[in-house]
Amino acid sequence: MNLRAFLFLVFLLPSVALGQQFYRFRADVSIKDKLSNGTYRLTMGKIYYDKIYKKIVYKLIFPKKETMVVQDTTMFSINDKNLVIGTTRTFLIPEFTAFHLALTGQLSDYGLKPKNNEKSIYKIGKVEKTSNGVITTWVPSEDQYKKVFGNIRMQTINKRLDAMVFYSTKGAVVSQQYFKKYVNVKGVEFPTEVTMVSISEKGEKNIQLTTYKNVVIDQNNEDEIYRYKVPISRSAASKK
Amino acid sequence: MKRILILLTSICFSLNSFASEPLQKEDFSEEFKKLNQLEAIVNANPSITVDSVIKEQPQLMKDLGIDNKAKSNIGTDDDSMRPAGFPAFWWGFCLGVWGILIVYLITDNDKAAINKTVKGCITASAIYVGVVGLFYVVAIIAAAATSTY
Repeated sequence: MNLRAFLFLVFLLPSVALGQQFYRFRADVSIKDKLSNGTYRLTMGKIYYDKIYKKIVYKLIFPKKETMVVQDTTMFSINDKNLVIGTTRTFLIPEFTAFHLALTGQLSDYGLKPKNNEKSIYKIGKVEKTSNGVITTWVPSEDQYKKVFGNIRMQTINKRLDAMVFYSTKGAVVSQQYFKKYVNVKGVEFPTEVTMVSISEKGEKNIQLTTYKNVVIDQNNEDEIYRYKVPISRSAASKK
Repeated sequence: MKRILILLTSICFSLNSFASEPLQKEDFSEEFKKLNQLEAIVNANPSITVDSVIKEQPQLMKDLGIDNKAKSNIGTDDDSMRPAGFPAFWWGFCLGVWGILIVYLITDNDKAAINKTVKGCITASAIYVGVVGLFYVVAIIAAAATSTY
């Protein structure tokens, strides 16, 4: 092996292999909710996400034809006449969505593992190997965080995130999330069935089942949707 | 004694094995059976509206509690009737017009939530008027009773 080939293998190949970047995610989405009051909701449409723009765009067909854009902590509802019909605060943080974590290769630890030189809220407290997989307990890294955040237990099967349980500071289960039916699209591992159970202090349960179909990674067209520009004009109803 | 200890230990072990492990997913398929029907209807006809499903499948939509005011459920608080975790009715009942204003701002003009808040405000006002009226009636009766002596 000559020196050039050696240098190529040593320096270039790892960067090619490790530096594979994915940017875009698109899928058909169906979100089913069973609320604690006994009623149900169904939301269907397409979801678009580009990790550079950090905008989550939902093109919904049911219950209404509308576009919903999540930008920072605000969600805009836009009607088919391209008018903003409502704005609400949202708890959806793009960086902690399954699609962002999958695109960035952080889904297996839900992005809890600290990146270089970053201060982490959580650290690994315990790792157990069971017949069902590996269970990792994440604990708040500092005493000041323990007052606000509870522990997180995470189960991985074959290095894929399978389940997560979030606990309150008092040790009660507040949320359970299950990541099932993985597909591999262009090298991106993605769970097409995500179930979230939220439990209130009173013990009331909301169950949300999100299913994804026709997952597309790094789509080249429909650029205007990924970088959706929220219109300045608002409908008369939203101004009321 | 030894037998009792063995028995207790075995009971503890069997109870532990039945205790649900939150990392193991429960089977929710029964919970979403009716929503799956609705999903199939929408998949078969992606341009269908809530109104037309209500016309075609009134019982299904009634069972699901979905009406023509149904909203998508993405990234928002599941219960708009509890702005900031406090029931909309009590916002109006306790804070009156201020409660209505707060609910208007928190829910971004969610009409159903504001309606509840207004009802709370009206109920509080009616109770106030009733109590004041009763007080005056009692005061008038008492005054009339003392003036006769």
